[in-house]
Amino acid sequence: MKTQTKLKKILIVEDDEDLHLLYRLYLQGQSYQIIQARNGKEGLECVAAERPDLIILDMIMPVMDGEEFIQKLRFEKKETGIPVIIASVNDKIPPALIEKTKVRSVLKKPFAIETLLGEIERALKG
Amino acid sequence: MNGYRISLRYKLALPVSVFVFLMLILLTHTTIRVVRDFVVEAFQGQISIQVEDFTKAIRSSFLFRNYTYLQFHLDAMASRPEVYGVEVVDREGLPILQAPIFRKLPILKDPVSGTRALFPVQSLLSILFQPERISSEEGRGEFPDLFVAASPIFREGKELGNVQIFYTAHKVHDQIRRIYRKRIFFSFLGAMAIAFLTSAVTWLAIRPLFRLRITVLDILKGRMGVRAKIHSGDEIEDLAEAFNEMLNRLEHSMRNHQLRTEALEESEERYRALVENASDVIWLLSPAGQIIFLNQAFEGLRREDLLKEGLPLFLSFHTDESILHFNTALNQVKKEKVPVDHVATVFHHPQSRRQIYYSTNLTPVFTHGRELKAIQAVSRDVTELKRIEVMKERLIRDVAHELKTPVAKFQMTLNWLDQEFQKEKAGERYKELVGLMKRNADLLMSMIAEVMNLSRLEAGTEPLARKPCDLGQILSQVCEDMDPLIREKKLSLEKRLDGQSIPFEGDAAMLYRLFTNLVVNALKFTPQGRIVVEAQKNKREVRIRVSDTGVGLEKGDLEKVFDRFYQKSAATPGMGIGLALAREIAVLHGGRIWAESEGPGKGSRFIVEFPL
Repeated sequence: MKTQTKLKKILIVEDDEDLHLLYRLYLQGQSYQIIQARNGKEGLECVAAERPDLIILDMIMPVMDGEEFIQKLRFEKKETGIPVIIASVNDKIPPALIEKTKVRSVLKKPFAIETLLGEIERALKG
Repeated sequence: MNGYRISLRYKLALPVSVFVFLMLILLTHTTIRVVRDFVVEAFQGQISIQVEDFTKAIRSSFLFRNYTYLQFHLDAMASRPEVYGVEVVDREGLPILQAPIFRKLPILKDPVSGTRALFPVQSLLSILFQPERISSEEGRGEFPDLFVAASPIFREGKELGNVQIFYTAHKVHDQIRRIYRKRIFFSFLGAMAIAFLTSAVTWLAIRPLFRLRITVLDILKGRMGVRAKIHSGDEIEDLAEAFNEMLNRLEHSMRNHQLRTEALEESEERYRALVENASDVIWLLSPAGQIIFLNQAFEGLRREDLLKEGLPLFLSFHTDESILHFNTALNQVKKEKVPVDHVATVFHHPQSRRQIYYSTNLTPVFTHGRELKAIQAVSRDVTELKRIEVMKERLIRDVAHELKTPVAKFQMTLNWLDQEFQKEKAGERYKELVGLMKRNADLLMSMIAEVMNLSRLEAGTEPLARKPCDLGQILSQVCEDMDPLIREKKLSLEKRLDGQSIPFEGDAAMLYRLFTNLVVNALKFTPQGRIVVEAQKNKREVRIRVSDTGVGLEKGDLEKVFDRFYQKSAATPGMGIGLALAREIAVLHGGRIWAESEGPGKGSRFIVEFPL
């Protein structure tokens, strides 16, 4: 592992502790730095502090849900460059929201390891 | 009927009376003639004797020309009341003496020679009460009605003269009149008696007829039990019997009629009570849209207004979608003459604007000639049901949603484990176990998804996204996707789609699920053999058939398999909700679905039919 090359930072905004564990297991052995946030509000703070390269976002969360988070991210914080992948059990995400906030892709839970890795790779490549 | 009427008894009695009366007159008349002849003859006999006696008395005076004495005799004779005059004439018929001397007497002439009469001249009585006068031919009208009797005076066989006595006919007439005044009175009395008698006899004969008339009047007054009791032993009795028989039959049929009417009224009453007390709105629509009958008003509307203004008023409180839906159903009933059930409409309460959900069943009502007479509508307020349904749907969705996350995490964990075991050799031992867990977790997830879908479809909260699509293409996709599973079970799948495209307006994702569920179901119950997917299309409809060589179905199960979680016995696998969902999707697309089977062990067929 080359320490000098800066690891890509992935912010995972997810209220479920189990899923944080699963994300860690799924991304084990990959050269990504994982930042965890428990809700949208925390997520926004992490974005400001850590400047992640990619955000994996859950939709249903306490305090601030995914929809509010991404809208604030895109239109309030003007963070338009960070790719966002939505990961949710609900596959019915309003298409208007996806288009307006430039969501890269939607992952329906459950997803396989390869699917997640593939999506992350594609998102980071731009 | 004419203005006048004559009783039958007079009609019958009058001709008889007239006849009797005429006979009586004729008889009287004849008798009068005979009697008159008698009287006249007797009178004539009397006066001829008188004249002969008188002649004998005056003979000597005449012969000895003692005229004073002769005149005395003549005056004596002439003074008699019945004598008009007396005359003595010579052989030539010239008068010698006469009494009374001032009175002119008729000159008698021989009707043949015209000189003088030798025989008594009879009075010419032709009419009873107006005696004509007799007179010499030239002196007609000069004298009263007279009889004349003459007697010659002979001496030694030589006629010297003639004595003529003129009698007035008064006596004769008086006598005859006297006799007949009495007779006529009595004969008139007799005629009256006979007329009365005839009338009475006639009355007796036709009396039953009057009794019959009274019976008829009684019946007309409403006393149906009355019968004519007539024993006259003639045609009237026959008539009465026939009449009574007719009455019996009439009464019988009236009783029947009354019983039937009562039964009808009773049943009408029963059904009216049922309809009036029904909690549903029951109404009758004319084909033109008028409301003919309405048992109660829709909430917030007045019954009279609805009856007056008809369907448009009712529809004006609906959403455009509801109006379209209702009118489409109504037109279908009118055109195809078939009932349409469960027409769902949303009614806005006119005052409170509260939403009321109605489910209406429309049934055509026909005349005897199969013409559409009216449309019967039964509208049920299903607002409460709707509310419960929405609640239930929300509950199921929430529960399912809550289940989804843990199951998803479970699947993801298994996914990671699977990967990990592939890396390590020791993992071989658990590979099968992980596979088992993965399969069941997948099954659990798909079931949750199905439950959510079905609940959503049944509640109707999410309408179908109907777009033009191709049924043939969807079926090909299903076959392709199912192929690995079929091969896994070592079955064969046969496609008979003829490569044709079947354009259809529908929700492609839902239709995909419908056909997938049918194939999955076939797969589940077919241990060996094949599954055939085929589509047939004509101008009006398309039929998709999924048949298998599996365990088949019993007749009683053909319907039940579409129920949720139907399971024939604990030993057999349950149906889950795949077929229930399939039916829901088919129905939402305006189609229908049913199962066919020749029996257990003989395979089964599931057929979906969509109108085009």
